[in-house]
Amino acid sequence: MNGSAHPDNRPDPQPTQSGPATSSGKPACEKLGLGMTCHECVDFLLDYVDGALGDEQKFVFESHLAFCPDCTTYVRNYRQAAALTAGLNRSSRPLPGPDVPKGLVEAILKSRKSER
Amino acid sequence: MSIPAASIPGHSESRSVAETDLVRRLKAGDDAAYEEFVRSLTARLLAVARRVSRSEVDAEDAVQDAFVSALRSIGTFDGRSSLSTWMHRIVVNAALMRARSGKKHQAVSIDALLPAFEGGMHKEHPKAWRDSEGPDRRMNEDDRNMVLDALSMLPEEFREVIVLRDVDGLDSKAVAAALGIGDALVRQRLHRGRQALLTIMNQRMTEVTP
Repeated sequence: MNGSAHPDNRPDPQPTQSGPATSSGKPACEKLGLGMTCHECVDFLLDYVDGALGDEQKFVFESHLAFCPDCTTYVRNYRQAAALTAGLNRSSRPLPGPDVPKGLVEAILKSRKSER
Repeated sequence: MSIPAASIPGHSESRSVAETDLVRRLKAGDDAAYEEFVRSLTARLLAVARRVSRSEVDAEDAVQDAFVSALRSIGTFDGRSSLSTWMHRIVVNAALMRARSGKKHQAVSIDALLPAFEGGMHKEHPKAWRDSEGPDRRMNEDDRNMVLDALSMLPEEFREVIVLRDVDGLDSKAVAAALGIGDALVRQRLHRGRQALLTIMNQRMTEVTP
C-alpha cells in the first residue's frame, strides 16, 4: 500500500486508500479509518480463516480487506498455501496396492541386525 | 501386544503400562521388543510417509530410515509424547530429507521467511498467485514436489505442526496433545509456519506459466 516503500515503483492499486505514512507517523490505512494496520491484519489471519474472530473483530478485519488489495492478495495466497499443503493427502499418484508391501517388515528387522 | 491406538496423534496421549514396558525393553536391546515395535507401527508409519514422499520407494525407505534412527536414539526417548507420536515425527523428517531431491537446503531462520512491514503496511506488494486448484482437486506432481521442497526447508518445530494439522488434518487441540505443547503455541507455530511456506512457495506460484 505504501508506494514509496516499493523499489519497483509500481502504481499503487488503490491510490485513494494508500500512500506514505502520515506526518503524525500513523500508517495511512489506520488514518483512513480502516481500524487495523496490514501488520495487525496478518496477525489476525489465522483466527480469521479458522472462523475464530468475534463479530466485531471480523467486521474490522473485513473492512480492512475491502480497502486493502495487498492484504486481500495475502489472505488469498495464505489460504492457497494451506490448501496446497493439505493437498498432499489428495495426490494424483495411484494408490499403492497392499498396505504394507511384502518384505518391508523383514527388511526393517534385517537392517537392525546389520546395524550391530 | 501392539502399541495402543490411544497413542496415535490426536487421540488420548495416556501412556499405557504396556507401552512403558515396551520402551523399557527397547532400551535394554530386547530383540523381541524391537520386532513387536516394528510390526505394530510399520503400516501406520508407511501411511504417514506416503503423504510426504515423492514415490512409494521413498516412502518405504523413509520408514526403514525411521526405525534405524529410532533404534539409535531410543535411549533419549523421555516419554513426554507417546512412542507412536515420536515415531511419526521421525518418519516425517526422514521422508522430507529424502524429498529434498538431492538439493542441499541451508537452515533458514523462520523470521527471515515472515512478511516485512513498514509503518504497519506491507513493505512489498504481495503478488497474486496463479490459480492452482480448487480445494478438492488432486494435485499434480509438480505442485506436490514444490510443497514437499517447501516443507523440508521449514525449521522442524514449525514443520511438525503443519504436517499434523494441515496434512494429517488434526485440530489444534489434538496437535497440542500429540506434541505435548500448549494450544496457543501450536497456533503460533501453525501461523508462522504457513506464512513461511507462503514465502518459500511465492516464486513458483507467481511464475507466469505458458
